[in-house]
Amino acid sequence: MRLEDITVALRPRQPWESVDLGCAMVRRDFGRIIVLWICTVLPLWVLVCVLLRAVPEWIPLVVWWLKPLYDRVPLYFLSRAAFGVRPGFFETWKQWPRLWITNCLPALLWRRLSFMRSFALPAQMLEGMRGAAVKKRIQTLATDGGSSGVSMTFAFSNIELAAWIGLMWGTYGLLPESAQPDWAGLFQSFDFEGTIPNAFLWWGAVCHMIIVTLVEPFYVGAGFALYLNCRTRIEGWDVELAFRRLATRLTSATAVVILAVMMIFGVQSSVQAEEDRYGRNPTPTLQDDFLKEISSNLENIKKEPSSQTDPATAVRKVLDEPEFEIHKRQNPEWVWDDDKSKDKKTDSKLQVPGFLGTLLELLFWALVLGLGVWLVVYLVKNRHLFVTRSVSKVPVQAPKVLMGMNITRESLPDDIVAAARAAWAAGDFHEALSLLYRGSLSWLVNRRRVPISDSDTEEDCLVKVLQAGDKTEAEYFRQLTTAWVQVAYAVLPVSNEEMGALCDRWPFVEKGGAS
Amino acid sequence: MAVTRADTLQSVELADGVEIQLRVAGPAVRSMAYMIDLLIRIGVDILVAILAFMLLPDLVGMEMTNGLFLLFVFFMEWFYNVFFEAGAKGSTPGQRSMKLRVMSVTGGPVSLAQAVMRNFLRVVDFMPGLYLTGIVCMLFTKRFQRLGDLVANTVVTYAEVPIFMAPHVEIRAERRAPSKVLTREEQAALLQFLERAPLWADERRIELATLAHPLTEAAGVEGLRRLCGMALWLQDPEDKSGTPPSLKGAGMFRS
Repeated sequence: MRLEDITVALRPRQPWESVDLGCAMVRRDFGRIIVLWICTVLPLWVLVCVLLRAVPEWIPLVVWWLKPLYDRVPLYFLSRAAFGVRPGFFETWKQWPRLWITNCLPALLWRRLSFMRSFALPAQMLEGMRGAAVKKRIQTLATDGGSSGVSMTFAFSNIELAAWIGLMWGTYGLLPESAQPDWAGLFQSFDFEGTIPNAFLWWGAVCHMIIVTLVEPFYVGAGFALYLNCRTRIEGWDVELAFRRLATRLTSATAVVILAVMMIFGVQSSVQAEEDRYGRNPTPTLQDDFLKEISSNLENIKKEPSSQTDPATAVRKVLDEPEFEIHKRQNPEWVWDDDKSKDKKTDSKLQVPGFLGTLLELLFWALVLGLGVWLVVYLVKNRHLFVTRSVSKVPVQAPKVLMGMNITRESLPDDIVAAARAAWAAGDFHEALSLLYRGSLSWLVNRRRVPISDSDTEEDCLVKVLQAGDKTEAEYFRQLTTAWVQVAYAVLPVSNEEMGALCDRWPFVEKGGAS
Repeated sequence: MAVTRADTLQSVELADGVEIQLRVAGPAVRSMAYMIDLLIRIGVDILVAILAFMLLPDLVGMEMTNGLFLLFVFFMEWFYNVFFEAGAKGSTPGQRSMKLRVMSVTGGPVSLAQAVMRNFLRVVDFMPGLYLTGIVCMLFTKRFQRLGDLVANTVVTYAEVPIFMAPHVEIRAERRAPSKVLTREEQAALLQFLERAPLWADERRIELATLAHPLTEAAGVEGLRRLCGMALWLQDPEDKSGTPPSLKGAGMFRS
């Protein structure tokens, strides 16, 4: 492990942030991880399915129980990839048996229900710890007592469960009817075997595996990142990395070249002192070479005449170098020909456009004024489109004909009730009720302003009267409508008492007046 | 190795060439925030149901109460998140408890339109059931965005910059200017060292200080002392404390 090669940005993070870092790491290599997963985990899954083919409802549980095994290959890959060496497929393939056998029994038995499973896994697998040592190591690592590892497990199991149910839910409609459970029967009898078809159980197992494949690598990555974060915190990996880079930078050639440049510009320090300072350097041979170079440079400078080292001359000399040559390039650019029109304006023949311009301006303003006037006139004419209609102000256009019946006041006799009684006595029931009905409608429409329109049916009229009129009138109108409909459409006779009551209770008269 | 470093900081270049870094939050912490919000919503719904069905039927009738309650549930489902995310804090109570907030990708607060868009698209993220689309989308996008976030151009970020609480210690080292010109990253590393060294064992401190040998030009405890001196100088070049106390080996960090 070389810290310099790390491919993860190290920095002490909040626990949740390091979980996110794990997700980012897995996402970066998800393709490779999934190939490894398919080659190592899928055979086991197929084996489990074959062994448990008689009881498919147990498959998801067993698959879930075996999860600690699946985590190891992705962890191996991630831990190598984090330090810049992505293991090849065959390399990992060869490691596979060893990875699964190491610490496999505790992981599958008494450590299976640990809530810090993925956080503890790197300590077991990468540090090769066993037994009580793992527990102690985890305690050291988990600066917050492992609560971040536990809550991460909680979050990921929620995600996994939600995604599993979501997938089942989403694909439920696609299943053939024979594969769908009989829910009603299930809740009545709790007879699982009879009501849940085997196909559904198999489909559940497949969906479970798909979701585990999707989520589990992220869970492993999150645990690994949490582990990295803890070590970064308590061992200062990020500081170590920065110091290593600092050391590389300071001992590299560039540093010495910068030093040489500084010397040329007159930093008067004795070469001897530099040599002393670099004498204790870890890479003396390299340093010696550079120091020789520097000292020879210094000798050359000393030999040259003083005018050469004069800053002004030096600057001029540098500016004369080809790098500082100022290049010029001409780009033709299309420019509005402003000057020429100005020139022409001074000519006499361009006086005319000036006059024309005034004319055009006048025309323009006339047009604007005309448009404005037209707009005002248009708005005033069509003001009904813009003003919200209020019922009280705009009179309702009372219909003259309703359901094929003339209901104008003029078409009716003055004393409607008397005319109706007469028609009833003559045996013309239809005419009698029609008179009453038309009379009441006429009253309601013209006097009470009930908003009945000429397309309304008897039913509509009744509803509107019930909504608008006062109670006695509405009640009377309801009875009248029933009687009228009975006579006119059903051709059923109306009893004498009923007719008498209708005539006696006729409410549509001027108050105080007699009819 | 020219591999891009995996990181949780996502930089965004704004229109005026400024680059900002967003501390985006991933699916795990967001699912926790969602669970808390869900529980809050269910709790409020139940509370309102109890109150409404106790008081309202006498006043407005059973059917009206039913209708009003369903209306309330509807608004809770659709506007709970919009209301809080477009508000001043930019976060729902659940997100606030996980120290998250919703932001525009440009780092500004979300507008009402963005909040409406990202929350109304929850319907799409929910498909085919229980946010499967949203989960997959979050796992595989760089900024952990679900579809609603992608459409509304929003991200969920950590609301607070973590404050590293180092125990207060007295550092007995002589303030001294670094012998070399240091880049910003190196200066930051020196300061980090000074801040976090109290948490480490003596051996680890010396080991790290030895790594910086080209800078300190001394090994062992002397190197550590010089490194701390330089870090102190970076913290505050002016020495205000007068003469430094005498040095006593590795036991420089006194809690």
